[in-house]
Amino acid sequence: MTLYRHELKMNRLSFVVWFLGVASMCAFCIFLFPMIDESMGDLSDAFASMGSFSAAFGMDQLPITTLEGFFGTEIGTIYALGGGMYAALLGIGALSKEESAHTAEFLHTLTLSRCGILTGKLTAIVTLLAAFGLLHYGVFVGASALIGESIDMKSLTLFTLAQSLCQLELAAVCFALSALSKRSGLGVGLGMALVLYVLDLVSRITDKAQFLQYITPFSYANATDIFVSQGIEVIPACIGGGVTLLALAAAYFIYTKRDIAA
Amino acid sequence: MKNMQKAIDIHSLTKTYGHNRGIDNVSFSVDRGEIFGFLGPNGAGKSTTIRCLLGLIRPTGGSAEMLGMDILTHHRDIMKRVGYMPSETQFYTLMKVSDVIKFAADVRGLDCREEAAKLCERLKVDTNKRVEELSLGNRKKVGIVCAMQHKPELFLFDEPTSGLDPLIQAEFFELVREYVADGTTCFLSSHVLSEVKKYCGRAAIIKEGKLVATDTIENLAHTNAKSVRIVGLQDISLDGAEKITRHDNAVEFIYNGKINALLAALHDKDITDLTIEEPSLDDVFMHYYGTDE
Repeated sequence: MTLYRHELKMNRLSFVVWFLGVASMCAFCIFLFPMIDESMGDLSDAFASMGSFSAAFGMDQLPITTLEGFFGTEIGTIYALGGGMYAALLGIGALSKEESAHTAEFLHTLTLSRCGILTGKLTAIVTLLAAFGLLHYGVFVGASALIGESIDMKSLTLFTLAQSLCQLELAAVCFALSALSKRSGLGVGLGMALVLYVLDLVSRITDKAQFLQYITPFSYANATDIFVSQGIEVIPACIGGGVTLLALAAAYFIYTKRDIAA
Repeated sequence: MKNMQKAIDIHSLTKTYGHNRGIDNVSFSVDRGEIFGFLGPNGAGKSTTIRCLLGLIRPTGGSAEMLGMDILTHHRDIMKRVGYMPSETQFYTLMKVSDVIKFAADVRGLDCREEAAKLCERLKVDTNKRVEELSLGNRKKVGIVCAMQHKPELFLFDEPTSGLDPLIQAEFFELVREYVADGTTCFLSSHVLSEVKKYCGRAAIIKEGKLVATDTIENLAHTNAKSVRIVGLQDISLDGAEKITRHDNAVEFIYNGKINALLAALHDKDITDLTIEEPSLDDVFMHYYGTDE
């Protein structure tokens, strides 16, 4: 419990920065929606018929002039990328930062077992991601209410939940990489989040790349898909859950056995 | 067979890093209540031995017990009763010193405020500073507080005095003596011979990953090797002569052979003085450390 509280404390500044950064961009976009809605009325069809580009961002499925459509193409993208990068950073730095900052000897020579350290850090990550999702959910609902628009609450709830699962998967994979590495690996974490996001875009552009939806967690957390179907794609989400569990098991297996650098 | 009389009991402990040497077949024991020195130059394997004991790295061979418990299976139980200070102490840079000390106590589930306050006062630790503002010496002082505040049964100090000013070094050893008087055992890894001579009853010497000697400080100084000084010669060529120091009209060396052979080699030389004595611990230390000539 002490390590859990310590981890929350150590991560509070980055949490505030990432939350304010992502939430303010999302809120800003929601506040822009009424102006866009007025000025883009006739352009909606044009946006929906731009071939691969429209498909990649889901503009062929929902009109951008509805809040759901605008949310799916703009705000969903910002939240997915921002949340994904934050989750990856949380995971990739969780364990390796102790060795790269040379605090591992101090932490490991108190009375914590390796499993205790893993669990303390992991529960802190889960808590931070849950808070990140909940606070953003509040921002989405609040900002929509402020502009006098209603948004489909079921879809919004599912979207935020799916994003939290996606973030958890990214954090878990990065957590496993962090258990392997003695270096901070921030670039690897950010790069992985961005590459997986691009894979989701690619999987939507061409049928030949559809298999990628089973690899990238952004596929089952895609805003447009969720707002259109009012549900989450079960198979990719289950694969994501499996990857999350496997990654966490790997992290425990690796970290409880390997040597800790000074 | 667990040995409850030993604070540390190491049997053939080995650690290799791929093809690289770590430590090789290291065996020695530390009795409860003693201050035990662990001597060796940088890179000899002192820290590797300590890090094996603390469970930071897994030995590739051998076994070890601390306070009667196996280091691999009782890590947490051991750490509850051990205070450790690494050679390069580092803490979370954005935390205040007081928070670091409290964190160390909280993880142990202990209220160490009284002891921590005493230690901070004696070591002159400014608890309001942030870790990032601390010099190496001041970080070391925080490390000492974290290692001592829970009044452990066994201290493991890895080169504890590097970076400390002489006054704080003296205060540190005074604290060690006080805890040891109350029953604590102290394992002191160092390459500073003078502090081992001054404070330790026994010591082990490690060189290139292998233990080369374990004995009382007194016995370590009484080896077969002799310290020889010859006035009237500028050089000498003799089997068993090591660490030869040449002066204008004298030569000094550690002699590891038979005295008869030394006298035979000198009988036709024009020497004005000859001194053969027990080597100092410094000489022994250099004798074990030195590369073969």
